[in-house]
Amino acid sequence: MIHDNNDEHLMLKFSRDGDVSAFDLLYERHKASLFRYILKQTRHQHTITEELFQEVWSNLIRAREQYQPSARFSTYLFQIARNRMIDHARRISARPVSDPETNHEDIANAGHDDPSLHAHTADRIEQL
Amino acid sequence: MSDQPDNQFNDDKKISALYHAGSTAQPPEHIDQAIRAAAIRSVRATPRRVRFPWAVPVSMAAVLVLSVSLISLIHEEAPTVSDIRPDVSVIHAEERKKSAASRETSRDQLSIAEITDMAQTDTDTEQKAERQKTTAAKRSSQKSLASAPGLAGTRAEFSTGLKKDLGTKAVENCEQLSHSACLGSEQCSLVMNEMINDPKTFVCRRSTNRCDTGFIQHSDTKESCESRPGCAYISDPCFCPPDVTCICNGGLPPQCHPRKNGTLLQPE
Repeated sequence: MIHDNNDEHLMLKFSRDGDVSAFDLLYERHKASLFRYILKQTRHQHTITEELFQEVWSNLIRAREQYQPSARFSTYLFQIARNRMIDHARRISARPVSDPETNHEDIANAGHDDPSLHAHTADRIEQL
Repeated sequence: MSDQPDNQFNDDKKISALYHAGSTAQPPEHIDQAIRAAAIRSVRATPRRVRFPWAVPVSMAAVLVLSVSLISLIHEEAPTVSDIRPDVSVIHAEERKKSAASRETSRDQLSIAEITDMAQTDTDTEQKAERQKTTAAKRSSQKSLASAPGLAGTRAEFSTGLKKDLGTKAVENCEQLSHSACLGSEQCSLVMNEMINDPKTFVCRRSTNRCDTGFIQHSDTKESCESRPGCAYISDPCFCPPDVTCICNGGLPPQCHPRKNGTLLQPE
Protein backbone atom coordinates (compact mmCIF):
# COMPACT_ATOMS: atom_id res chain seq x y z
CA MET A 1 0.00 0.00 0.00
CA ILE A 2 1.37 3.33 -1.06
CA HIS A 3 -0.21 5.14 1.94
CA ASP A 4 1.83 3.08 4.34
CA ASN A 5 5.05 4.18 2.74
CA ASN A 6 7.23 6.78 4.31
CA ASP A 7 8.50 9.83 2.43
CA GLU A 8 11.88 8.36 1.61
CA HIS A 9 10.36 5.24 0.14
CA LEU A 10 7.93 7.29 -1.90
CA MET A 11 10.74 9.43 -3.24
CA LEU A 12 12.68 6.31 -4.15
CA LYS A 13 9.68 4.92 -5.96
CA PHE A 14 9.39 8.16 -7.88
CA SER A 15 13.11 8.47 -8.59
CA ARG A 16 13.84 4.86 -9.51
CA ASP A 17 10.56 3.51 -10.82
CA GLY A 18 9.06 6.74 -12.14
CA ASP A 19 6.01 6.29 -9.94
CA VAL A 20 4.08 9.55 -10.39
CA SER A 21 1.46 8.60 -7.81
CA ALA A 22 4.23 8.43 -5.21
CA PHE A 23 5.26 11.94 -6.19
CA ASP A 24 1.66 13.15 -5.93
CA LEU A 25 1.47 11.80 -2.41
CA LEU A 26 4.73 13.44 -1.46
CA TYR A 27 3.61 16.70 -2.96
CA GLU A 28 0.32 16.58 -1.05
CA ARG A 29 2.15 15.92 2.18
CA HIS A 30 4.74 18.67 1.90
CA LYS A 31 3.37 21.39 -0.33
CA ALA A 32 1.66 23.39 2.40
CA SER A 33 4.53 23.35 4.88
CA LEU A 34 7.03 24.20 2.16
CA PHE A 35 4.89 26.97 0.80
CA ARG A 36 4.47 28.52 4.26
CA TYR A 37 8.19 28.23 4.94
CA ILE A 38 9.07 30.05 1.76
CA LEU A 39 6.31 32.56 2.38
CA LYS A 40 7.74 33.31 5.78
CA GLN A 41 11.29 33.58 4.49
CA THR A 42 10.29 35.94 1.71
CA ARG A 43 8.33 38.05 4.17
CA HIS A 44 5.05 37.08 2.57
CA GLN A 45 5.88 38.11 -0.94
CA HIS A 46 3.49 35.82 -2.73
CA THR A 47 4.86 36.22 -6.21
CA ILE A 48 8.38 35.37 -5.15
CA THR A 49 7.10 32.58 -2.92
CA GLU A 50 5.24 30.96 -5.78
CA GLU A 51 8.22 31.34 -8.04
CA LEU A 52 10.59 29.80 -5.51
CA PHE A 53 8.10 27.11 -4.58
CA GLN A 54 7.88 26.04 -8.20
CA GLU A 55 11.65 26.13 -8.59
CA VAL A 56 12.15 23.92 -5.54
CA TRP A 57 9.83 21.23 -6.87
CA SER A 58 11.31 21.50 -10.36
CA ASN A 59 14.75 21.00 -8.89
CA LEU A 60 13.52 17.98 -6.99
CA ILE A 61 11.97 16.49 -10.13
CA ARG A 62 15.04 17.22 -12.25
CA ALA A 63 17.49 15.72 -9.80
CA ARG A 64 15.27 12.81 -8.79
CA GLU A 65 17.69 10.16 -10.09
CA GLN A 66 20.46 11.44 -7.84
CA TYR A 67 18.31 11.15 -4.76
CA GLN A 68 19.86 9.08 -1.97
CA PRO A 69 17.81 8.40 1.17
CA SER A 70 20.66 9.38 3.49
CA ALA A 71 18.48 11.86 5.37
CA ARG A 72 14.81 12.48 5.85
CA PHE A 73 12.97 13.58 2.76
CA SER A 74 11.70 16.74 4.44
CA THR A 75 15.29 17.72 5.28
CA TYR A 76 16.26 17.16 1.66
CA LEU A 77 13.31 19.18 0.39
CA PHE A 78 13.85 22.07 2.75
CA GLN A 79 17.55 22.09 1.96
CA ILE A 80 16.69 22.57 -1.70
CA ALA A 81 14.31 25.35 -0.70
CA ARG A 82 16.97 27.01 1.40
CA ASN A 83 19.50 26.85 -1.45
CA ARG A 84 16.97 28.30 -3.84
CA MET A 85 16.29 31.19 -1.45
CA ILE A 86 20.00 31.88 -1.06
CA ASP A 87 20.32 31.94 -4.83
CA HIS A 88 17.36 34.27 -4.99
CA ALA A 89 18.89 36.59 -2.36
CA ARG A 90 22.11 36.67 -4.34
CA ARG A 91 20.22 37.53 -7.49
CA ILE A 92 18.44 40.33 -5.68
CA SER A 93 21.64 41.72 -4.21
CA ALA A 94 23.39 41.54 -7.58
CA ARG A 95 20.53 43.26 -9.35
CA PRO A 96 21.43 46.81 -10.48
CA VAL A 97 19.78 49.48 -8.38
CA SER A 98 19.10 51.63 -11.45
CA ASP A 99 16.22 49.41 -12.48
CA PRO A 100 13.32 51.43 -11.25
CA GLU A 101 10.65 49.49 -13.08
CA THR A 102 11.52 46.16 -11.51
CA ASN A 103 11.99 47.59 -8.07
CA HIS A 104 8.70 49.37 -8.13
CA GLU A 105 7.00 46.29 -9.44
CA ASP A 106 8.43 44.15 -6.67
CA ILE A 107 7.47 46.63 -4.06
CA ALA A 108 4.00 46.99 -5.47
CA ASN A 109 3.51 43.26 -5.69
CA ALA A 110 4.79 42.73 -2.21
CA GLY A 111 2.44 45.35 -0.88
CA HIS A 112 -0.63 44.02 -2.63
CA ASP A 113 -0.05 40.36 -2.15
CA ASP A 114 0.94 40.23 1.43
CA PRO A 115 -1.88 40.74 3.93
CA SER A 116 0.31 39.70 6.82
CA LEU A 117 2.70 42.46 5.89
CA HIS A 118 -0.15 44.88 6.33
CA ALA A 119 -0.87 43.39 9.72
CA HIS A 120 2.75 43.62 10.65
CA THR A 121 2.88 47.25 9.64
CA ALA A 122 -0.31 47.99 11.54
CA ASP A 123 1.10 46.32 14.56
CA ARG A 124 4.25 48.39 14.40
CA ILE A 125 2.27 51.56 14.03
CA GLU A 126 0.15 50.62 16.99
CA GLN A 127 3.25 50.04 19.09
CA LEU A 128 4.54 53.45 18.17
CA MET B 1 -11.28 43.91 29.23
CA SER B 2 -14.44 45.88 28.98
CA ASP B 3 -12.58 49.22 29.05
CA GLN B 4 -10.57 48.27 25.93
CA PRO B 5 -11.39 50.41 22.95
CA ASP B 6 -13.53 48.88 20.21
CA ASN B 7 -11.02 49.59 17.46
CA GLN B 8 -8.33 47.53 19.29
CA PHE B 9 -10.75 44.60 19.53
CA ASN B 10 -11.45 44.89 15.87
CA ASP B 11 -7.73 44.99 15.07
CA ASP B 12 -7.13 41.85 17.14
CA LYS B 13 -9.80 40.03 15.23
CA LYS B 14 -8.34 41.26 11.98
CA ILE B 15 -4.81 40.16 12.93
CA SER B 16 -6.05 36.82 14.11
CA ALA B 17 -7.83 36.29 10.84
CA LEU B 18 -4.73 37.28 8.93
CA TYR B 19 -2.59 34.98 11.03
CA HIS B 20 -5.02 32.17 10.50
CA ALA B 21 -5.02 32.77 6.80
CA GLY B 22 -1.19 32.73 6.79
CA SER B 23 -1.03 29.47 8.69
CA THR B 24 -3.26 27.77 6.16
CA ALA B 25 -1.57 29.27 3.12
CA GLN B 26 -1.52 26.87 0.19
CA PRO B 27 0.08 27.13 -3.21
CA PRO B 28 -2.38 28.10 -5.92
CA GLU B 29 -4.07 25.38 -7.91
CA HIS B 30 -2.37 26.29 -11.16
CA ILE B 31 1.07 25.82 -9.52
CA ASP B 32 -0.02 22.42 -8.22
CA GLN B 33 -1.03 21.40 -11.70
CA ALA B 34 2.14 22.78 -13.24
CA ILE B 35 4.36 20.86 -10.80
CA ARG B 36 2.44 17.62 -11.26
CA ALA B 37 2.62 18.01 -15.01
CA ALA B 38 6.37 18.60 -14.76
CA ALA B 39 6.73 15.39 -12.77
CA ILE B 40 4.77 13.41 -15.36
CA ARG B 41 6.77 14.96 -18.21
CA SER B 42 10.02 14.12 -16.47
CA VAL B 43 9.03 10.50 -15.94
CA ARG B 44 7.85 10.12 -19.53
CA ALA B 45 11.03 11.71 -20.87
CA THR B 46 13.22 9.24 -19.01
CA PRO B 47 13.23 5.77 -20.55
CA ARG B 48 11.94 3.36 -17.98
CA ARG B 49 14.40 0.71 -16.98
CA VAL B 50 12.87 -2.71 -17.15
CA ARG B 51 13.56 -4.43 -13.89
CA PHE B 52 13.71 -8.14 -13.44
CA PRO B 53 13.95 -8.79 -9.72
CA TRP B 54 14.18 -12.51 -10.39
CA ALA B 55 17.08 -12.18 -12.85
CA VAL B 56 19.91 -12.38 -10.31
CA PRO B 57 18.73 -15.48 -8.41
CA VAL B 58 17.77 -17.24 -11.63
CA SER B 59 21.16 -16.58 -13.23
CA MET B 60 22.97 -17.73 -10.08
CA ALA B 61 20.94 -20.92 -9.99
CA ALA B 62 21.63 -21.52 -13.69
CA VAL B 63 25.36 -21.09 -13.18
CA LEU B 64 25.27 -23.48 -10.23
CA VAL B 65 23.33 -26.14 -12.13
CA LEU B 66 25.63 -25.85 -15.14
CA SER B 67 28.75 -26.12 -12.99
CA VAL B 68 27.49 -29.16 -11.12
CA SER B 69 26.39 -30.93 -14.29
CA LEU B 70 29.68 -30.14 -16.01
CA ILE B 71 31.73 -31.44 -13.09
CA SER B 72 29.68 -34.63 -12.88
CA LEU B 73 30.00 -35.11 -16.64
CA ILE B 74 33.77 -34.71 -16.44
CA HIS B 75 33.91 -37.22 -13.59
CA GLU B 76 31.83 -39.70 -15.55
CA GLU B 77 33.91 -39.39 -18.69
CA ALA B 78 37.32 -39.41 -17.01
CA PRO B 79 38.91 -42.84 -17.40
CA THR B 80 39.70 -44.74 -14.24
CA VAL B 81 43.04 -46.38 -13.56
CA SER B 82 41.58 -49.76 -14.42
CA ASP B 83 40.44 -48.36 -17.76
CA ILE B 84 43.90 -47.05 -18.54
CA ARG B 85 45.73 -50.19 -17.48
CA PRO B 86 45.24 -52.95 -19.98
CA ASP B 87 44.12 -56.32 -18.78
CA VAL B 88 47.30 -58.32 -18.20
CA SER B 89 45.59 -61.63 -18.76
CA VAL B 90 44.38 -60.49 -22.17
CA ILE B 91 47.88 -59.37 -23.08
CA HIS B 92 49.35 -62.60 -21.92
CA ALA B 93 46.84 -64.60 -23.91
CA GLU B 94 47.58 -62.58 -27.04
CA GLU B 95 51.28 -62.89 -26.51
CA ARG B 96 50.97 -66.61 -25.96
CA LYS B 97 49.20 -66.94 -29.28
CA LYS B 98 51.72 -64.75 -31.06
CA SER B 99 54.71 -66.46 -29.58
CA ALA B 100 53.32 -69.91 -30.35
CA ALA B 101 52.70 -68.93 -33.94
CA SER B 102 56.06 -67.30 -34.36
CA ARG B 103 57.83 -70.24 -32.73
CA GLU B 104 56.41 -72.60 -35.27
CA THR B 105 56.78 -70.47 -38.36
CA SER B 106 60.21 -69.02 -37.84
CA ARG B 107 62.20 -71.67 -36.13
CA ASP B 108 64.54 -72.10 -39.10
CA GLN B 109 64.83 -68.42 -39.74
CA LEU B 110 65.61 -67.85 -36.12
CA SER B 111 68.53 -70.09 -36.25
CA ILE B 112 69.81 -68.27 -39.34
CA ALA B 113 69.37 -65.01 -37.54
CA GLU B 114 71.24 -66.31 -34.59
CA ILE B 115 74.05 -67.38 -36.82
CA THR B 116 74.12 -63.98 -38.47
CA ASP B 117 74.26 -62.32 -35.09
CA MET B 118 76.95 -64.57 -33.96
CA ALA B 119 78.88 -63.74 -37.07
CA GLN B 120 78.59 -60.08 -36.29
CA THR B 121 79.94 -60.57 -32.86
CA ASP B 122 83.15 -62.18 -31.86
CA THR B 123 83.28 -65.77 -32.97
CA ASP B 124 85.94 -67.11 -30.71
CA THR B 125 85.71 -68.75 -27.36
CA GLU B 126 85.84 -65.44 -25.53
CA GLN B 127 82.37 -64.74 -26.77
CA LYS B 128 81.13 -68.00 -25.36
CA ALA B 129 82.63 -67.19 -22.01
CA GLU B 130 81.10 -63.80 -22.19
CA ARG B 131 77.70 -65.27 -22.88
CA GLN B 132 78.05 -67.58 -19.98
CA LYS B 133 78.84 -64.63 -17.76
CA THR B 134 75.87 -62.75 -19.12
CA THR B 135 73.53 -65.61 -18.47
CA ALA B 136 74.81 -65.93 -14.95
CA ALA B 137 74.38 -62.24 -14.31
CA LYS B 138 70.88 -62.37 -15.85
CA ARG B 139 69.86 -65.15 -13.54
CA SER B 140 71.18 -63.34 -10.51
CA SER B 141 69.37 -60.16 -11.47
CA GLN B 142 66.10 -62.03 -12.01
CA LYS B 143 66.45 -63.51 -8.58
CA SER B 144 67.06 -60.15 -7.00
CA LEU B 145 64.11 -58.57 -8.82
CA ALA B 146 61.80 -61.36 -7.85
CA SER B 147 62.77 -61.03 -4.22
CA ALA B 148 62.53 -57.22 -4.17
CA PRO B 149 59.33 -55.76 -2.67
CA GLY B 150 56.94 -53.25 -4.29
CA LEU B 151 57.65 -52.18 -7.81
CA ALA B 152 60.59 -54.50 -8.21
CA GLY B 153 58.34 -57.37 -7.33
CA THR B 154 55.83 -56.24 -9.88
CA ARG B 155 58.49 -56.00 -12.54
CA ALA B 156 59.83 -59.39 -11.60
CA GLU B 157 56.38 -60.92 -11.84
CA PHE B 158 55.90 -59.26 -15.17
CA SER B 159 59.20 -60.52 -16.42
CA THR B 160 58.55 -64.03 -15.19
CA GLY B 161 55.18 -64.02 -16.87
CA LEU B 162 56.73 -62.93 -20.10
CA LYS B 163 59.44 -65.51 -19.91
CA LYS B 164 56.83 -68.14 -19.30
CA ASP B 165 54.83 -66.99 -22.26
CA LEU B 166 57.57 -66.33 -24.73
CA GLY B 167 60.24 -68.65 -23.50
CA THR B 168 63.84 -67.67 -23.82
CA LYS B 169 63.89 -68.25 -27.51
CA ALA B 170 64.38 -65.34 -29.76
CA VAL B 171 61.61 -63.99 -31.87
CA GLU B 172 62.48 -62.76 -35.31
CA ASN B 173 59.57 -60.58 -36.16
CA CYS B 174 60.19 -57.86 -33.60
CA GLU B 175 57.82 -55.35 -35.20
CA GLN B 176 54.88 -57.59 -34.43
CA LEU B 177 55.68 -57.93 -30.75
CA SER B 178 53.88 -55.94 -28.16
CA HIS B 179 55.99 -53.56 -26.13
CA SER B 180 55.91 -55.82 -23.10
CA ALA B 181 56.91 -58.81 -25.17
CA CYS B 182 59.66 -56.78 -26.82
CA LEU B 183 61.06 -55.81 -23.44
CA GLY B 184 61.23 -59.44 -22.44
CA SER B 185 62.81 -60.58 -25.68
CA GLU B 186 66.52 -61.31 -26.05
CA GLN B 187 66.54 -60.64 -29.77
CA CYS B 188 64.44 -57.50 -29.89
CA SER B 189 64.93 -54.09 -28.38
CA LEU B 190 62.33 -51.51 -27.53
CA VAL B 191 63.74 -48.18 -28.64
CA MET B 192 62.50 -44.66 -29.14
CA ASN B 193 60.76 -44.09 -32.44
CA GLU B 194 63.34 -41.93 -34.16
CA MET B 195 60.95 -41.05 -36.95
CA ILE B 196 58.73 -39.28 -34.48
CA ASN B 197 61.48 -38.48 -31.99
CA ASP B 198 59.04 -38.74 -29.13
CA PRO B 199 60.44 -40.18 -25.90
CA LYS B 200 57.07 -41.74 -25.18
CA THR B 201 56.66 -43.47 -28.51
CA PHE B 202 58.60 -46.70 -28.90
CA VAL B 203 59.18 -49.22 -31.63
CA CYS B 204 60.32 -52.77 -31.27
CA ARG B 205 63.24 -53.53 -33.55
CA ARG B 206 65.58 -56.40 -33.91
CA SER B 207 68.72 -56.26 -31.80
CA THR B 208 71.56 -55.36 -34.12
CA ASN B 209 74.76 -55.60 -32.17
CA ARG B 210 76.54 -57.71 -29.68
CA CYS B 211 75.49 -55.47 -26.81
CA ASP B 212 71.76 -55.43 -27.20
CA THR B 213 71.52 -58.94 -28.55
CA GLY B 214 70.73 -61.14 -25.61
CA PHE B 215 70.09 -58.18 -23.38
CA ILE B 216 66.63 -58.43 -21.86
CA GLN B 217 65.59 -54.88 -21.28
CA HIS B 218 63.04 -55.74 -18.68
CA SER B 219 65.16 -57.73 -16.34
CA ASP B 220 68.83 -57.38 -17.21
CA THR B 221 70.92 -55.11 -15.06
CA LYS B 222 73.81 -52.76 -15.57
CA GLU B 223 76.22 -55.47 -14.47
CA SER B 224 74.92 -57.96 -16.98
CA CYS B 225 75.32 -55.37 -19.76
CA GLU B 226 78.67 -53.99 -18.80
CA SER B 227 80.08 -57.43 -18.12
CA ARG B 228 80.36 -57.57 -21.88
CA PRO B 229 83.43 -55.77 -23.10
CA GLY B 230 82.69 -52.55 -24.97
CA CYS B 231 79.07 -52.26 -23.81
CA ALA B 232 77.53 -49.52 -21.74
CA TYR B 233 74.27 -49.64 -19.85
CA ILE B 234 71.83 -46.75 -20.35
CA SER B 235 68.69 -46.44 -18.30
CA ASP B 236 66.12 -43.81 -17.56
CA PRO B 237 64.76 -43.69 -14.02
CA CYS B 238 61.37 -42.58 -15.35
CA PHE B 239 60.89 -45.50 -17.66
CA CYS B 240 57.82 -47.45 -16.71
CA PRO B 241 57.18 -50.84 -18.26
CA PRO B 242 53.70 -51.54 -19.62
CA ASP B 243 51.13 -52.83 -17.14
CA VAL B 244 53.08 -51.39 -14.23
CA THR B 245 51.92 -48.38 -12.28
CA CYS B 246 54.80 -45.97 -11.79
CA ILE B 247 55.14 -42.56 -10.25
CA CYS B 248 56.82 -41.09 -13.31
CA ASN B 249 56.45 -42.26 -16.82
CA GLY B 250 58.07 -41.21 -20.05
CA GLY B 251 61.68 -42.30 -20.12
CA LEU B 252 63.43 -44.73 -22.44
CA PRO B 253 63.67 -48.40 -21.51
CA PRO B 254 67.06 -49.69 -20.35
CA GLN B 255 69.46 -50.33 -23.21
CA CYS B 256 72.84 -51.90 -23.68
CA HIS B 257 74.86 -49.88 -26.20
CA PRO B 258 78.23 -50.58 -27.74
CA ARG B 259 80.97 -48.23 -26.61
CA LYS B 260 84.21 -47.41 -28.29
CA ASN B 261 86.97 -45.48 -26.51
CA GLY B 262 84.53 -44.29 -23.90
CA THR B 263 82.04 -42.96 -26.50
CA LEU B 264 78.66 -44.53 -26.96
CA LEU B 265 77.98 -45.74 -30.45
CA GLN B 266 74.55 -45.31 -31.89
CA PRO B 267 72.80 -48.57 -32.69
CA GLU B 268 72.92 -49.53 -36.32
